[in-house]
Amino acid sequence: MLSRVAERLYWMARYLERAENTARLLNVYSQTILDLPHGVAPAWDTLLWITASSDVYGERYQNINERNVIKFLMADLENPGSVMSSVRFARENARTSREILPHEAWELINELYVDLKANAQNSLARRTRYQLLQRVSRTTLQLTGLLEGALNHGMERRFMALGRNLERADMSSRTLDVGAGVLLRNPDNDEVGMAYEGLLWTHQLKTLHALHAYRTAVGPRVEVESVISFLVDNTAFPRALGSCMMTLHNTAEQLPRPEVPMEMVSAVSQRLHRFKTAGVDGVALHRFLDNFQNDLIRLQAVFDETWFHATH
Amino acid sequence: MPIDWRKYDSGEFYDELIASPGHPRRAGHKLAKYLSSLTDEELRERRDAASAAIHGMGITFTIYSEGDNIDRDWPFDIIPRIISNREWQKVQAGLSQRIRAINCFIQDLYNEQKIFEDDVVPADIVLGSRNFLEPCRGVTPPHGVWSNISGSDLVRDHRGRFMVLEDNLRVPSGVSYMIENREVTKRVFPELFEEQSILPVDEYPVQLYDMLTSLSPRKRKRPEVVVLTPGIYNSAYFEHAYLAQAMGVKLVEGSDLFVDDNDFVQLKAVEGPERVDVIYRRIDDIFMDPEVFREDSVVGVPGLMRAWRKGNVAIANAPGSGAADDKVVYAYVPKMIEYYLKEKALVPNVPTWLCSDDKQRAYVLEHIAEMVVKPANESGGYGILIGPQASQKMLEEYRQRIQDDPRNYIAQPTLRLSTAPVLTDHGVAPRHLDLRPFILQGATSTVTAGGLTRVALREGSLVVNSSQGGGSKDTWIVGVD
Repeated sequence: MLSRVAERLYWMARYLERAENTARLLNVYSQTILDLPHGVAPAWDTLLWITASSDVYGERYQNINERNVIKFLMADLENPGSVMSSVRFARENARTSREILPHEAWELINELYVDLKANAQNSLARRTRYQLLQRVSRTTLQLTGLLEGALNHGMERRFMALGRNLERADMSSRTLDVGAGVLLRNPDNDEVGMAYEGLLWTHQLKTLHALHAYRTAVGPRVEVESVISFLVDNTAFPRALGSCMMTLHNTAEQLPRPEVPMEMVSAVSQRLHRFKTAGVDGVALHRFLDNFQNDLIRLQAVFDETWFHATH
Repeated sequence: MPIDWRKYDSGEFYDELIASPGHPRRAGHKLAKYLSSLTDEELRERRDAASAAIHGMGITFTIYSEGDNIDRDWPFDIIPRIISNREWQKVQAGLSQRIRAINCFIQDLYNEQKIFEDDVVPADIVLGSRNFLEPCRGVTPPHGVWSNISGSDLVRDHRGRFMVLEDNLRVPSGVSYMIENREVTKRVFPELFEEQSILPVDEYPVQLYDMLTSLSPRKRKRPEVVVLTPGIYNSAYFEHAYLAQAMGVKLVEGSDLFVDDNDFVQLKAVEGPERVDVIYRRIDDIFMDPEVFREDSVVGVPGLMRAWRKGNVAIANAPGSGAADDKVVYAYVPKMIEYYLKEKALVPNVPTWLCSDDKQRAYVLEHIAEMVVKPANESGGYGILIGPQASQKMLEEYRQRIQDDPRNYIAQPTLRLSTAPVLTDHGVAPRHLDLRPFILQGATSTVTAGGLTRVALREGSLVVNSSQGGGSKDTWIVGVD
């Protein structure tokens, strides 16, 4: 298989996953702020932080407010991390790999792009935003299901799995990094912070499609330590960091020249496993996740060297 | 034409939102102002969005008379009903007081029966009730509490006073609709949540779960809790599934359980039998155990009562708690509060005449045309006579029924129930409503923030049951600063 084709499929899967994750993030956040008590302002820059786009934002907008942030993350083509851009990049990659994909896959991506182009700018209001983001979320989930059911077991599928799981690990770790205190950003208001802690962590779980799975595995009470441990060293839930690493490992194993990537993934898994959730504080959690983010960057570099841009 | 509150007049009735034409109540000020800023078109759009959301979320209910059509979309009015937080706190205290007294009564009833000895409540009306279950005698459930989950129906009279209309102590339903209504409103009016503190309602499943696990005979981190449903043909099946999912526990039917030789309740699982600790049962007492109650019950579990009596499994609500869910017993609740708690009732009863009492019956027979007559033992609004709306023939029929079986009837004055604005095809109009808050009692008690508001969608109607043309509204407990 051509390295170029492998790389395109990999990125198509990553961008689709990113579009879905971002759409869901915006939707869940928009719902969650409705439950904040009067006087506690939702921190819109939290969304910029999760998506690692504060710098780009700063170049484009002066004020951080709901309308600007939503526009930036949903509809702005100048922001490479927006839903709109993610769908566009996924479409570009799909367009140049059309011969590999089932026909409906191309159609779905294309329709989604056309829909966003026509409607994203005028769906910024809270009420209409919900519908559009849900369409994005559903279409991308539909695509994932279509590719899962219609592609041969082979390398195409494996490179997409690689991209999807790396992106998932990325989103899950960023979501965790936000933590409860940041959403409120209100240090004098500890009582409110405590009362809404459950609400905020529930929001994190919903963002990651994890609420139902968490309830089934852990119980209905959403507690900080349980949530962290559920999303870090856990191989049962597909979006938990541990599970993403396991899938990367098993997928790499079935690709040519897997030694270096596998070794690195194993090392990351080990670090997840050693992380102690009990009594964890914000500083320790942040440092841990920061390291994990660096691990993901290194993994991407190893993928590039091994499969996509190999020169030897 | 946008809404003009000056043209909205609820007449002699207390209106929840508009104090007098043009003047919204304080807690509802922002809502009223916002609604009148919308055009007809915008209002219609929001109503359609709510219908679409309800349809999409699959919020349904069942009417038994409709045969195969077992899920109808939930009828919903988009204008929320508003209660100020300060007022609500008093109601919460009153409901909590009430359920504590009722639980003391049920515990007393199945054990020492002091309240009869002390002549506060006549023994015969309770012991003669078909809801009094002899096999429950001598049992003390965990915390001494029998009715762990209840839903009292509250109404307001023409002066705005909250009163308890009835206590639902068996398997009250509606709490899932309370939570889902809020989800729908958030989608339809997200703008309104920005400027005020509206108490969230979605903590309930966690509180329910905590209360249920506190009943477990085995002290472990995650006891095996199950929701026992009669199955998909039950009108509240949507809610059974909803609560099981929200608590992360199994939804079971009677045939999924059995009682083993050591009188433990076991779950039939692919891994082999698993011992059950707590059953949140959503089936009536008499169907629970065919060995003890109705032999023909196919939704129950043979031997369940044995297991429960031995303390091997907790059941919520405890079998037999329905003995206090009777409109005659209801009439005595204020006295129970004084007797067991040495307190005065914080939320009053609706005045009630007992037909079993000769004098009271004479009054009822004479004034039947002005009164509401209810069978002591039905729920869902069935079997009720609304005097002012009934034909001569019906009045005569009920006079006869009362004389034939006086123990089974009570009567209340026709209340001038409060109203709230509902969006109709011809603009906003006042409609009557009630409120069902849900009360949990384990070691401590909690009351929901608000509850399920049920509203009669037909003009002038007083019947709010969803099975009889009622709808519902989201209920907001709003902090007024």
